[in-house]
Amino acid sequence: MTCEEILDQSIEARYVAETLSEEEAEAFEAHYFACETCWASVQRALEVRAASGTPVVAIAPIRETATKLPRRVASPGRWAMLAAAAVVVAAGSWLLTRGGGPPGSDATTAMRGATDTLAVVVTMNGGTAYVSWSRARGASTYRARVLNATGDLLLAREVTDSTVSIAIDSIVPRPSGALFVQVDALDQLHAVLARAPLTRLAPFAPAKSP
Amino acid sequence: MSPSAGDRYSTGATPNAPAEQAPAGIDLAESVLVARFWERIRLFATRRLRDVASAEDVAQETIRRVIEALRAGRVQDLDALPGFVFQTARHICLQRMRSSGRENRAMERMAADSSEASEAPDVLTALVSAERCAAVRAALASLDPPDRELLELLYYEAVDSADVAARLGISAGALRVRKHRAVRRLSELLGESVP
Repeated sequence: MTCEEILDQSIEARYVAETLSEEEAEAFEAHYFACETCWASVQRALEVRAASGTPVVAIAPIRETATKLPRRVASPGRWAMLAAAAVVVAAGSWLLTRGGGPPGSDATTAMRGATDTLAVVVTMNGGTAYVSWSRARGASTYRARVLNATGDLLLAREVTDSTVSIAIDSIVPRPSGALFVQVDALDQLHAVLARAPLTRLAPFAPAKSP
Repeated sequence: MSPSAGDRYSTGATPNAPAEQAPAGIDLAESVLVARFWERIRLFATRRLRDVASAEDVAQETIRRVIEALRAGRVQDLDALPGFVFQTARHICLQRMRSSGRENRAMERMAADSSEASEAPDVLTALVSAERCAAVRAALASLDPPDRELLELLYYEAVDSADVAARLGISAGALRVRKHRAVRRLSELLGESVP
């Protein structure tokens, strides 16, 4: 693999998106161990990827813990049944939140037409949070964001599935204090169609092995 | 996040090294190695092991073994050093993957049971610190929109470069030039030089 090939095909872009084959990825790795230019290039690609896809709208500082009293809203019935069934699965502790977000919050009113809510389920297992949510009609992607108690964005993931696993231990610098996850359903233009209420990522002792 | 050479790992005394060969020279070599290869190994290992803590263990072990090999004279040609570091890291990763294989499969089953579909987390971007993210985010925001959009298309949305060129109505060569300029402007905004 030469610098020419890498530049022509933006190999570094495919590497950080993990769309290269294992062989191609390894060839690129062998190359960047020796090549300063391509090493700088892949670092830049990774940073841009990590820094992109963050909200244009500033997140209002969070002063209270996430879970509010559940409010009755139009419920996706099937989701509620699945969630109830999931509770009996012995895979760790479950934190189930439903309902609308705090009324009149800056974050909510700043979004156009974001009246729908997503239901979110979080499982913590050791240092990893497994987050699942209900699907929203018209959504192209879903964005899960990990925030600290002051509303700082620590980590963001954008996926097409309705689930994501987040290695909390891999957040550097290691955050102290409570962490929260917020999930948004986005349309093709990245406008927010629906938002789940902030959900606390509670620390949990590792599940006992069966 | 490169650690200082002295406190990250024990280098141990070479059995037959005379006491007069003070560590000073060796510490310098270690610092150089760490500076040059630590982040590379970390990225390499994170992609394979899917977690940053394990990747850092691999980086430490790799540096330790490479220094040992250097002292034992097993790396004669310094041009071969990057390849040697690469192979060492690769070997250590393979060992770890084999030994933790059973553990990982059990975790995957548990995750599959508890979510609708399994999804590989974007663990590579977790390597970028929050501060660095913030700095790059600010720099991106200051870029001209066409430059920013180009970099986001390539690196965030991961659109194939041929498709990006087609979307922008330019040739592959023109895309290369534009990308190079956009990256250079981003580097300037970050106060860094492009190698």
